[in-house]
Amino acid sequence: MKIKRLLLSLFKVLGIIAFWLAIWALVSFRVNSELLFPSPLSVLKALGTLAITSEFWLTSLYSLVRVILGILVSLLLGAALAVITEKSRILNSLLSPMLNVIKATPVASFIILALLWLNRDTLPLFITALIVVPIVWSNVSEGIRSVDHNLVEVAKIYKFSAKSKLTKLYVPSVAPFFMAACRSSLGMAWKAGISAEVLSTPNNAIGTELYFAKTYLETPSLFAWTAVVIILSVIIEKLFVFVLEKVGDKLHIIPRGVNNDKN
Amino acid sequence: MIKIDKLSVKFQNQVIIDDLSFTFEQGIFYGLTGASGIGKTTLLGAIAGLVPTSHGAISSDFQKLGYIFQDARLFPWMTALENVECVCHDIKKAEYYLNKLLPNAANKFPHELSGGMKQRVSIARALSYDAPLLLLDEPFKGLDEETKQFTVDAVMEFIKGRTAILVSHDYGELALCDKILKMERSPVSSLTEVKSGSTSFE
Repeated sequence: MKIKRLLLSLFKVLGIIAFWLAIWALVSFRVNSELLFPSPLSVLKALGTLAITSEFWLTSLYSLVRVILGILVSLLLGAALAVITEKSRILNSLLSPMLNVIKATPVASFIILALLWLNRDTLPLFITALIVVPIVWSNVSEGIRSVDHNLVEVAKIYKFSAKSKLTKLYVPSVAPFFMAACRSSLGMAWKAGISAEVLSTPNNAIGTELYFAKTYLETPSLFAWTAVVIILSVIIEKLFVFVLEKVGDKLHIIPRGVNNDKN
Repeated sequence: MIKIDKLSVKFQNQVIIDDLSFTFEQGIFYGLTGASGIGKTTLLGAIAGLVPTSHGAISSDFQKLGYIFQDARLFPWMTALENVECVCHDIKKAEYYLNKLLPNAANKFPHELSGGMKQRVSIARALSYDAPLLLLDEPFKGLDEETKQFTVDAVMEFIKGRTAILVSHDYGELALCDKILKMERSPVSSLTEVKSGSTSFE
C-alpha cells in the first residue's frame, strides 16, 4: 500500500515535470532560435558539458559556501539583533528604522553601493546578510513578543534558572518563528547572493558564469546555470531545515507535539 | 507566616485591593471566598509576587511556593511527565505524583489531554515542587466528581503541616479548610473570617 502510494506520487511529480518540459519544448520549437529560447535538449547538453568539468563543481561549491556562510552569519546576527531590540526600548527605537530602510531599499542599490566598499569576493556574503538579517530579525522579534505570559509566570513561580528559562521557555516559543524565517529567507538569500555575483563577478562563482554566458550570448549555458541555481536552492532549503530540525530535536529545543509552522 | 501590611493593588487604574492588612499563620489551610472578580486571584498573585503592588508590603517566611492556577498552564512542547519534572528536577518524584493523579499519561503532550487531565498534571507539578506554601486558585474546577474526590484527597494529604490558601466558591471544598476568609467589599480592605462548618458562608 505504501509502495503504491509512493509510486503514485512519483508518477504525479514526473507527470508535472513532463508537462512543463513539453510546454518548454513547444515554445522553443515555435520561437525557433537557440539564442532566444533554447530547447530543453540543448540546455541538457550544455549542462552535461558543464558537469564533466571540475570547474563546474568548484564554481558551484564556491557559490554554495559563500551563500551558506552568509545565511549562517545572518541567522546569528538577526537573532542577536532581535534579542537586543526586544530587551532594550532605546536600542529598539534606534535600530528599528534601519530595519525598515534595509527592507525598503532595492537589492540592486545595495549591490552597486557595496561594489564601492567591499571586495568582489565578500560582496555576495554581505548582500545575502542584508536579505536574511531583516527577515530573521523581525520573525524572532515577533516570536519573543508572543511568548506566553502565563508560562513566564510559571517559570517565575518555580524559579527556573536562566538556562532553563532559555531552553524550556524562550527557545521553544521562538523556534517556530525562527524556522519560518529560515524557510522564507533561504531561497531569497540564494537568489540575492547569485545576483550579487552577477554584478560583482568574483572568481569561481555561478553568478560570474551567468554574466559570461549572457555576454557571449551562450543562452543554453545561461539556462543550464540557472537550472543549477534552482536545483541547489531546493537542496539547500530542504537540507537546512532538515539539519535545523534534527539539531533542535537532539538538543530538545524544537517544540514537539505542536505545529511548528508560523508565518 | 505571610504578613500583608497596608497592601494596595491597582489594575488599569482600578483599585482592587485597598490598604489591606492581614497575617496568614504558618501550617494553616486557609479558604478564600468572595464574589467573582472581587480580587481573590489578585491577592494570590500579589502573595506569589506575580502582581505588582502599588502600596504596602508583603513579607513571607517561605523561600518557595507552589501555585495551582485556574488554567493548567502547561508547556505545550513538553510531555506531561516533562512538565512535572521540569520544576522538581526529580524524575521519580515527578512519576510518583503524575501516576497518582493521572496514570498512563506520562508521554502525552498537553494537546492530547482534556482540560481536566491538564489540570491534574498542573496539580502534580505543584505538589512535586514540595514547597512549604501552596496557593490554589480554583484548582478542582472542571473535574468530574469521582476524579475530584481522589484529586482533593491527594492535595489534602500533601497540605498536612503546610500553609495553603485555597480560592474557591465551592462550599464542599471550603469546608476542608482550617479557616475560611471572605472578601466582602470591593475594593478589598479586609478579610472577614467566616465560621467554619457554615453552609452558606454568608
